[in-house]
Amino acid sequence: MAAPPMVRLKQVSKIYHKRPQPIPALQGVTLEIHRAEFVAVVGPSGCGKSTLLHLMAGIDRSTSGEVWFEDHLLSTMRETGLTRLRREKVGIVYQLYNLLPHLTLWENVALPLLLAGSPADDIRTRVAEVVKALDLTERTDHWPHQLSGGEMQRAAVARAVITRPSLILADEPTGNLDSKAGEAVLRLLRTLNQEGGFTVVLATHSQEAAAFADRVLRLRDGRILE
Amino acid sequence: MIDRTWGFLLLLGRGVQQFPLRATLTVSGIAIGVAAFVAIQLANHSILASFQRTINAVAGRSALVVTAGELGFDETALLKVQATEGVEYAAPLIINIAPVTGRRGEVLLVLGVDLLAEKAFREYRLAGQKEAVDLKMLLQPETLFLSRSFAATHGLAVGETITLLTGSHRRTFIIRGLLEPRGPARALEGHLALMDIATAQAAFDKVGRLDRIDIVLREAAGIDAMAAQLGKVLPTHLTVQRPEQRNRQVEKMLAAFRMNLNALSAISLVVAAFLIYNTLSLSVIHRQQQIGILRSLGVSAGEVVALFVGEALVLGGIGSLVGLGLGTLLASQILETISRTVSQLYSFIRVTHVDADPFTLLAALGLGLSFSLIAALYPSFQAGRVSVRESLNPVLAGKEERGPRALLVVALLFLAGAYWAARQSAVGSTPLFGYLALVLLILGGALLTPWAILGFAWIVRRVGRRMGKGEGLLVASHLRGYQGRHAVAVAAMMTALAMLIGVAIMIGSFRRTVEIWVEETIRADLIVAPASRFTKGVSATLPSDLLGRVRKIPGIAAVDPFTGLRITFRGRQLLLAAGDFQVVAARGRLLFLKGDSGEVLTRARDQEGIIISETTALTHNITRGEQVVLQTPTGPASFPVSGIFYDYTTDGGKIVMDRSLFQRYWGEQGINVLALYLTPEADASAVTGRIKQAADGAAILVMPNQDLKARVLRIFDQTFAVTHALRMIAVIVAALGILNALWASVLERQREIGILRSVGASRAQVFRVILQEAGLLGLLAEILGLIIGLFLALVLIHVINKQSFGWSILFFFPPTILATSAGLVLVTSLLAGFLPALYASRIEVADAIKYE
Repeated sequence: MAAPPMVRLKQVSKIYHKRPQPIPALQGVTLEIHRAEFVAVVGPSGCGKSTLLHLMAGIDRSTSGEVWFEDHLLSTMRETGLTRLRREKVGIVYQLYNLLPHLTLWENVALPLLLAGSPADDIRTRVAEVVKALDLTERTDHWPHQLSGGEMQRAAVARAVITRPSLILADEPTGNLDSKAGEAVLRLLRTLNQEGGFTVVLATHSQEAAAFADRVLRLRDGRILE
Repeated sequence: MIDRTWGFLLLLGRGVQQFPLRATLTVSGIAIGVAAFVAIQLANHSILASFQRTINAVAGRSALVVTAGELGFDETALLKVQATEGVEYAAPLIINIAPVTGRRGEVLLVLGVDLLAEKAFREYRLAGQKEAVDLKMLLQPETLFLSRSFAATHGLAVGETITLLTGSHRRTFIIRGLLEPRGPARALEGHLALMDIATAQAAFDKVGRLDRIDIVLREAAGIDAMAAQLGKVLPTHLTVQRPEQRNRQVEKMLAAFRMNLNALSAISLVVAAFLIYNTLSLSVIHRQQQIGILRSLGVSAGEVVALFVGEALVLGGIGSLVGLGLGTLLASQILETISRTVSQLYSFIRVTHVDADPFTLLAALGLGLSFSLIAALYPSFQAGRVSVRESLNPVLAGKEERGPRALLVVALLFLAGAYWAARQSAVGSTPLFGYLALVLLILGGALLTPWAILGFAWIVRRVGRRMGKGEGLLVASHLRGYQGRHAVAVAAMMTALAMLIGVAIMIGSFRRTVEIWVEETIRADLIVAPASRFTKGVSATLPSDLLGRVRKIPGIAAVDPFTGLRITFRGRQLLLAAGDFQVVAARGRLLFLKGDSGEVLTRARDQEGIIISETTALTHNITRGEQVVLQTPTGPASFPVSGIFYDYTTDGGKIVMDRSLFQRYWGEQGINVLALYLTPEADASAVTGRIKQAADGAAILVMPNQDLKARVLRIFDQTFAVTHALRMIAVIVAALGILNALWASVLERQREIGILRSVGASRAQVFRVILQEAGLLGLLAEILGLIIGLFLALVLIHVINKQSFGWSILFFFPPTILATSAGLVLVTSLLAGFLPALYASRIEVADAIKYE
């Protein structure tokens, strides 16, 4: 029997209630993401990619339909449960890196573990491992504004994987990088997926980026095309 | 041009509108700051105006006035004045303050006038009559006219009686008429009783004596020349001056008291200025992108500066206007407290309403706007310097802030300047350099805050990392990252706290000093005084035969009869007092700057010398051993200064001599107070009973030692009641500053908080981080405030008080101030942090992290 999907969306719609009229961001989306899969969600700006990722991460709630994460129905979970889910099972990488500007690279990477109250020794060991793997050891005491775009994005990836989450959500991670740095980040995600067994969902508008994925979902005007 | 102006105003309006909460907080802060300032100014002004109204109302048409202090003078002087060439009319006066029996706290200004001479000087009109009063109605014994307003307040009518405490007697008078509020009837805000001079002399034990002679000159006579001429004719201890000089004397008398209150109230304005600075700085930071867009659209740097200055002036203007209204209301609340203090310390005053002096209000508005303008300059110029490229790039915008080194250098220079200023002497008797030292201390402390925050953040970060606490790390990172924004809020809070702590230490030290002084110097077992003694301005004496009778009462070991007179010495009022030095040397005690009490007093008696209070020595620059000339009724006489003693009873100074010496020059004067020392086996209450019997119905007080001590301390506490309110106001304004800064930083960090939540921070964690941040900012303000406050206290004690009042105060650190100020800070900063923390914890993650 096939393993149950890690993330499952059934007829999910998300409508932003704005004036003068409501804006539908997602309409009747149904999809499944399986463990250790690398899925790219491709579509132009404003097609609902980020909303889709936010729903999977429990950052946002759907207007209708069901979002399942493993065996949790997210719409029925309370805020504390969703926080724990994000802390333990989801890692997010953003287009603008979203490193906290007043924490050093080391501190940014260690943050999820610090917030989870992990033992100090454990934190030190794991951060050391991850920054080494991502070739950031020399930059741990630097502030975000002292890093290059590629370094900031690698640091963001390091922060996303530090808790060994089941799912990495990458929202346009190459959008703000030059092509070389962008490619390096995509390779990194691919490696994490293939060697680390992480499930990756990549939102992108770029076909080249999508080429790194096992499966591509096309999103337009809030609907899955395939 | 019109279009451009409209465009400018539109941008200005939108700027203020953009952050309504911040604008409201700022306006409230300024309003409260200005209100505190206005309230004190108006109350001070009203009190002074009331004094002057009374002086002018009584002065009438007098061109010159002859007085001799509290002592009064022989009525034969009137004949000399009348006989002087150039004097048209001369009117004798008896002026006294008399408490009204059965109406607690009420007093009347009692004028005893010569009915025949009055017409040329003052006009009186009875209620319901159009003609001037026929003063002959007063010639009947024990009668008076009462001001109509007083009678109305107390439900008194013509034909009824009123009982006054005149000297040590209660006397009942029949009210023969009610005076309309014009002329002298307006004195002391309508608290006037008018008597025939003979009635007044008898009532106040002043038969054969006068308090004052008012003079109207012939037209041709020059006023100053006549004053000089009269000075030659009259005994030397009499003063001839224009009535308006009395106004200046009052101003002089109250100068130090008013100055201190003004300085204290100005602190609220300074704190409000920090608030404006903070708001503008935050506004510049938040609107970087807008500034960039405006600049890229062709708005000049100068116009951007003008935009922000305009914003400060709008906020400052609205705040100041609201503050004027609020201050006027507040003034009526504090008026009673301040006038009570003035009544107890200086001279009895009655102030019923706030005199909303337009000049004071305009000055406060101008000051509010100027403070706003000054506070706005730096942030506005920063706005003008915003780089278009950086402001339009969100990645470049999150750059690290740094505390500029120059700030540290300036801070240290200011602190060094404060040290220098504190060591300078007074300008006249105003401690101008002392005030400068206070300002430099506060500015120096304020400029240190960015560095203090960095240091503090460093410690929190180390502790947080070591303990593996994510929240600690976040707090530290926020402190560090936003130190520039937080520094101003901390500086404002620090200023308010430093003032609170500084003034509290000063008052605490002062109180402790007075306690020690009271304990050491009030040694008599019982104090006997006329019942009206404790109303300032009353010069009541005990019945003349009481001393002889008291001496015969068994159980009394020694009696020190005390006589005090207000005299003018080198242009200032002070108290000339006489006591029995032999008794005080043996049983009492004075604290001398140098030498043992008994020895100094014995030497003073033997040398026929005087002892002077520290205040007198400092004000007139007199040293021990010097010869001092006093104007006595028998001509000028010179006395050696045998000792200088600490004294906290009056701020005008005191000169004391042995009773026998005093009597030789001033003759037999009434006794104001008897200090009694009992034999060891005597029963104080039994002795008290016998003294009351001996007084034979006279209105006297017999007070045990403890009661007098308690009374002194009670008056002390009342004196500083207003400062409590002022200090609290400054703290409230500062709390608004912290709320403002935290709220702004939360708004600014919405995205950051969103990220934090998306990487697993719970709502509770975010709430705690912001609240801890508020608490830590408060803690830092407390630490800095404590340090700067200690130095403020030193300046207040050793420079300002010393130079303006001449009091030596021993430094005491009241431990309770630590607990009180820390508690206050904790509560205010947590309250200020609560709303922003709640808001932060409820931020919707998805909204916060959107790129657009």
